[in-house]
Amino acid sequence: MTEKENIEALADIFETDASSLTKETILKDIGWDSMTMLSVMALSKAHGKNLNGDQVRALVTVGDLLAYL
Amino acid sequence: MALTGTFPGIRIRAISVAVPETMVDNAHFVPFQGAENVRKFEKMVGVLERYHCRTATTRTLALASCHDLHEAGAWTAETVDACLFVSQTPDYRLPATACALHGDLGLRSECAAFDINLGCSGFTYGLYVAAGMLVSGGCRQILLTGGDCLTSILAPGDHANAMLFGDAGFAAVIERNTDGQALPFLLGSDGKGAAVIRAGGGGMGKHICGKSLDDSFLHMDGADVFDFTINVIPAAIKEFCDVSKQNLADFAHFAFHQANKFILKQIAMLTGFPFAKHLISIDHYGNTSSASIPLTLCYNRENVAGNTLLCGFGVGLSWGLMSYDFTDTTLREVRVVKD
Repeated sequence: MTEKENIEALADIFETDASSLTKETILKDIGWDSMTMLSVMALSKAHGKNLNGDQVRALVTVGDLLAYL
Repeated sequence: MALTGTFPGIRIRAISVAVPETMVDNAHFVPFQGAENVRKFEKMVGVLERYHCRTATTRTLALASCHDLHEAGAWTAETVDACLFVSQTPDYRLPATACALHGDLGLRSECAAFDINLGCSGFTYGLYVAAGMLVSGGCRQILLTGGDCLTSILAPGDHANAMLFGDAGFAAVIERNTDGQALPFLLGSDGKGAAVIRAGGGGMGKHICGKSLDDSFLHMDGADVFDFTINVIPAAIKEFCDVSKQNLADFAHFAFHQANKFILKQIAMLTGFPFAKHLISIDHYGNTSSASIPLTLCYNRENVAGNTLLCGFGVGLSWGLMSYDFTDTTLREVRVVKD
């Protein structure tokens, strides 16, 4: 998937507008909680990658997250 | 790889489940969690309501389930050779709650009674132990009972877990029967994840895997549980099918531990087994730990027919799978117990 498609997938998870998301967006500012954590882990798995518990807890920005998608 | 085996000539005669009378709906949590968070929880996790104990305990709920099966004619004090109690929330450090139930039920001194300390995978592990005891020749009938009241070990103010978990008890009568079915099993454990779901209190240890056990309350690292589930369980299902020489198409239903609806949907997607064929109870009862598989069977009793794959997974970390055709099993209506 392209970065634009990944951003749109994340916007769907965070229930926000894709145009409001940048690599610098702080996850805690857009609803980073236990449920969105599981959703992005599932998204990573669907992309054939694995985002484990320690890695997901260490994420700070959307840019950090995109590296796992 | 996991522990696998098949026990011949086993009959699961009847299953009963009991919940306490206090139903808690999602509106209850809005003042604590906020309406938006409750809406998101409901959409993703899928719990609409659950039953929480006030004064009832796991023993109370297990006993009600045992009485229900006695009234249904599934067992008598003369026929039961062993009483097994599966729980993470037993009534006591000692004695074994199974022994207390042995007394409650008026079972014979020739009847063995002991506890099995497991949660989400406990029902399938309990069936494995029961089937093994039956096939060994020492027992003809086993009363497998248990359940969990996880709300009794939640920290005050832990509304997130209170929304997820419900309390329930169960009982099942398992028999040796030459006309019974062959029960294939797969069991596995990963102790490196022992601290992922943990609670102190009652035990002698103060730490587990570097994590503190300095309070009595339940702690769950949800991301680690999810990582375990999506990586281990689909592979375990495939291994179970290979070892038992079955295909996914051979199963009419999946009756899985009701961890949360999002996890169940992920398992469905990763295995290719349609989510529509998963039996579901989490929406009305929440995650009831060791009781969730029998509760799911009883709640869906009018639709349960044909070969069904059971899969418990969670605390331990541990997982247990088995398959059985419940067409001839008496699945009782879920009982609501005065509390």
